[in-house]
Amino acid sequence: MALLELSGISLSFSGLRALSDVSFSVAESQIVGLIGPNGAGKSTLINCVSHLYRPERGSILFNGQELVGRSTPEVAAMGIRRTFQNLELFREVSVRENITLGLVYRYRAGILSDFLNLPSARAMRREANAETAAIIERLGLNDVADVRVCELSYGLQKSVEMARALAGRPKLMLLDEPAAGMNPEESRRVADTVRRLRDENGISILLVEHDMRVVMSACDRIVVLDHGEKIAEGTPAEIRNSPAVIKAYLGEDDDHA
Amino acid sequence: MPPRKLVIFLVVAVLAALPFGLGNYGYYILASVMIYAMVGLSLNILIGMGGQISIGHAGFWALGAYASAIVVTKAGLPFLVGVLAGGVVAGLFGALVALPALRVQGHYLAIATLGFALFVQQMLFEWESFTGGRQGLFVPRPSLFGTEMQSDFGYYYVLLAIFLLLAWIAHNFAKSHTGRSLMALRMSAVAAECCGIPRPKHVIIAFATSAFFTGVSGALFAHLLGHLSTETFSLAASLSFLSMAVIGGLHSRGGALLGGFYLALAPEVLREFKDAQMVIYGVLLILCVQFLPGGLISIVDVVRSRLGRKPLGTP
Amino acid sequence: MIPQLVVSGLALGSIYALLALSLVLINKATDVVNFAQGEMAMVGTFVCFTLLARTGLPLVIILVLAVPIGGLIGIVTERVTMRPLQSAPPINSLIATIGLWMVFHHGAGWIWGYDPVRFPSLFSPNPVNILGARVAENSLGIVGVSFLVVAVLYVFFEYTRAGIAMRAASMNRRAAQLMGVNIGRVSLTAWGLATAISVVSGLLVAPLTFLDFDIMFAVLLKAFAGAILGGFNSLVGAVVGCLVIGVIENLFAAYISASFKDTFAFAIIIAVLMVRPQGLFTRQIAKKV
Ligand SMILES: Nc1ncnc2c1ncn2[C@@H]1O[C@H](COP(=O)(O)OP(=O)(O)O)[C@@H](O)[C@H]1O
Ligand SMILES: [Mg+2]
Repeated sequence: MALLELSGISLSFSGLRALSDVSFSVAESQIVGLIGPNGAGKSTLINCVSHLYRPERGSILFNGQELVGRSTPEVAAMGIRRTFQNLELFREVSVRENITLGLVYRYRAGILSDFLNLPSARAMRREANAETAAIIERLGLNDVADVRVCELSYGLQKSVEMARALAGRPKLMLLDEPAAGMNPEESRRVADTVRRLRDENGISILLVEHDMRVVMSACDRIVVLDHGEKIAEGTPAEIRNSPAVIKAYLGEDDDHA
Repeated sequence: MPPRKLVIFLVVAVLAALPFGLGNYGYYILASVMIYAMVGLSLNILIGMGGQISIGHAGFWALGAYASAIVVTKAGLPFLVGVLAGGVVAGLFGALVALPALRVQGHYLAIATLGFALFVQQMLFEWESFTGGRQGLFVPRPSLFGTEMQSDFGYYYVLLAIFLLLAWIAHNFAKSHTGRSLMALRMSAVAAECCGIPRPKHVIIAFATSAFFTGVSGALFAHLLGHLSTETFSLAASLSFLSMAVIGGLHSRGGALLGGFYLALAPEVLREFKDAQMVIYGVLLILCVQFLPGGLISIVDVVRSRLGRKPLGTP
Repeated sequence: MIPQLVVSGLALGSIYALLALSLVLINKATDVVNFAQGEMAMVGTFVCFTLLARTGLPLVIILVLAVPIGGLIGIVTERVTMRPLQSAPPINSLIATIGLWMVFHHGAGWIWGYDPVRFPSLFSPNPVNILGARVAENSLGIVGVSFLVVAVLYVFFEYTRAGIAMRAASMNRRAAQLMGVNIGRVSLTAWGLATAISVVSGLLVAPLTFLDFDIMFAVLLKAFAGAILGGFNSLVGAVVGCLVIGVIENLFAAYISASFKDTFAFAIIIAVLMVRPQGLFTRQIAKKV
């Protein structure tokens, strides 16, 4: 059974069809690439899975459970985490706090303990802090752990967002253009990271990316969207040679740099 | 002793020493400082941590005041029970006001809280059999362990103790996972929700807690004043609370305390300006958001950072 | 009875609509909800009142002068208070408008005193016969003036450069900026225009009751209710919402409770926010990430 199974997802914005009848699936420990020209609906699809948008039609099964109709935090708690195309970080606080906030939902004492700082609340904080420290250590963010996120470089901010997503111990990660704005060297590292996430943690990944080298080297399968419709699906080799894909990309000449 | 603890110790010592050498009026003013500072704490939680604005806190204040007055006079229960009842009643209404906040943000919410406060005021006015309506309601002096406190001197210390208790609770909350989740929602609701932090639950907690604090303050105020009438709980009161909290500093307990001093002392200082007084408050509020958005407490922070210390405003 | 109540309700509603238009205009252009809008209108009305008393100009001229007077109040206010907050978090601007509320509200009391004054009306309260119903000339006049303002506004947004720039800015501020729209100018125009409109609403309310420093508060509350009903980002929605509010208010006061007629607006606000926060006429669109 697939981990994530989308069938017939449709969504439009004030008449504009952003997604129409999109179906595909992501298997356990699989890396699936999602590509397509600008405005194809890739981010919209990710927003549907993480439930920031609610699809008008279709179903999204995760581990066999229907996601449509649940709240965003519920979906996150089920094990789906994401990064954002334009970064959504807690900018005013430290890297450490960002990561803690990614896992804090698992460490809840009662509200009364929180008000009165009872031992249970303190214990929860200790555990969360320990786990945060472990993540910081593992991802090599020690040097910047106590720096405010807004003071970091763009690249580092992207890593923090990835670290925060990882803190949620996801089964599925949705990455929206993790290599955007990076040089080839940095992009290669992103591709490595993505593969490591899968190899070391067994996380399935839905990867939206414009950089073809990253997509081709990291993904097991690729889904191609154009104008909200799925126009192709297959292995990287198949996609590379698909006439439909070549046509979609040649039709738009501005965004596969 | 770590510097932060030392600062708190010194502040408490100064607060405890303040009434000496003052007269009855001075005690009364100091008592009001504490009562306003409690409202400041409540806005510290709601606006500072939660990013939810309210221009209707006089409504919660009124609910606390009337609830306590009624519990003490009509049901004959002790003063402290009345105060707790005031907090609980206001807190429940706070949770109720949060319901529209679940679906909307910012501006709409401010409008809803404004409407809420007007509604409460109108209700209290119309519901004469219970609240005394136009005539108002007499409230007995506070009493502890069966003895009535005739002087505001003693009452001030009760208020100081309650303020410190509430400040401690607010501080714990700011450090706690629930409080930090609330702040996460303020910084980016989208990101927080994608981290598994539900907005509805936290917004309700923020509103209920904030309203509880304000209700307690209102109850304590009722017993200080001795007589309640609905005019006390007008829009002007809500706006004063908001100004005080902003001018003191929305992001820390110290800011709330400074706000309390501001609201209690400014009328004394500005008395000779008569009708222009309120205009000056407005101007001060605008100047504050323009030039000192962190409030008066941020001056303290600037000094501290010169000394190489962590700002008080951060949890 | 009911037709009269409906027509005078529409008149009330169109007064609310003018204030609501001001609120929505500023909100669309600058993302600020101006809590002081009603008070600014009240001050503008007092200025007109003084002008009327001192110069003895005809009332029609005063009504026309209200537009530049309001515009000036709006422009100066924007420059002095809002401009410095342009890049601050939106909550700061909101708080600043509350400061403005205090300044204008109490400033008016300070300057013009706290006693209500009589403000003459352009229209007589005599009834006229329309389609068999007897309605006050006053009501028709109010609706007429409001309609005129809305028509002018329509022309402004459809046919003038400034209007088109404002529409662009309200749709997507960043994109408009990239296309060369001057955001500062848009904000200034919005405040000027909005305040001019709101002063007209002040001039229409003042003769209905007496003019005092409290006059616009209830109007503001209803304008909020109407604007929320209309979704708060649609000018047409705000007008329709306010007309609905005006009519309901009149019927409510006549048949249910007169003393709660001002708080009923609150009930509507809450009901709309709970059931359909995007308003009755617009669709909610999720924030784009
Ligand atoms: N919240 C939204 N409101 C209105 N339109 C949106 C929203 N989100 C996406 N869209 C529209 O949907 C289409 C697809 O956008 P998107 O999913 O961001 O494309 P991609 O990520 O593939 O570049 C675009 O036309 C975009 O303008
Ligand atoms: Mg995208």
